[in-house]
Amino acid sequence: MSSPRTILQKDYSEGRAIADVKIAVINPDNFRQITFEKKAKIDTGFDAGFHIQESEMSQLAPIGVRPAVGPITLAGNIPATAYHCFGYLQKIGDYELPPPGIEITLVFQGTRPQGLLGLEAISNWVVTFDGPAQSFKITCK
Amino acid sequence: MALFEVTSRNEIIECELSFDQSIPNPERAPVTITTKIEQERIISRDDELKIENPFCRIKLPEFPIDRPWLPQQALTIIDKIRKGPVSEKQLLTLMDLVAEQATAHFQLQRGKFVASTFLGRIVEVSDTRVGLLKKIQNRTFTEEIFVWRAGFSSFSGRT
Repeated sequence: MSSPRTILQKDYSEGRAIADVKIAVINPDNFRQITFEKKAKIDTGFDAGFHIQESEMSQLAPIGVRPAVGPITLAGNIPATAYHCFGYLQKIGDYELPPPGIEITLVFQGTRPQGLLGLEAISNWVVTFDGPAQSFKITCK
Repeated sequence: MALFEVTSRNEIIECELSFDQSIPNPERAPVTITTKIEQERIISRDDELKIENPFCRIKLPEFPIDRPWLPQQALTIIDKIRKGPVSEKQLLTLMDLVAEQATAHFQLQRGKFVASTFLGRIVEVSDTRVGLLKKIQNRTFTEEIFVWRAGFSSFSGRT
């Protein structure tokens, strides 16, 4: 039996589990793509893939991807609207995921520059939060 | 012979109940139930298949055919969208109304991820959120579409 492979092991930053991620959005018609490299908070309460501020959506226009609007529930059960599109999580920390990456939903909403990495991504791994040590670890079985 | 009404598929159908009088204790004998629709068909066979308005009995209680299938509130918001931007609250109300009507009309299973126009035309349905977005990413739509989840108030967000 093989031992779990460590994908990322990191100390908390500002009391939060934050990781550097790289996400690609590809237009399947012309194969043009754009990548977002952001800091993202690991959020086990977010059921989509990656939450990113709405202003970043303008970067999708040059590759011809038009996100679709849809209802979203924010923290505190506040209803709002957000734009959604499909993308690939390609890198987390220094770990490059096997191509094309993990298929995820990108949610464009709000103005916070820090992203959220949600369940569509982290449910692929074992994520351990060590509160007393202020660190977290992502492993792959 | 007795005249009574039965309910079938939420429709009230008038029926005639006939007892066979040649049998002793006719109330215990097999009975024949003839609906008015059947009577018309029977009549029409004799009358060279002249059926009197066969569609008059089709009732669509939730979606009357003489009115738009979206509620007036939704149509009002759609009109506003055509003229200019609307508030987020109004957009959410419209999404709710369209999703509710479309879920009932197309009998969408709870949990399905759906992409549709604001007039309620379904453009894609998928079992997963990622699957739905992957399907629509390479398609161009003449109308604005929105994504939603059947039976849920939001497409994504806090669990």
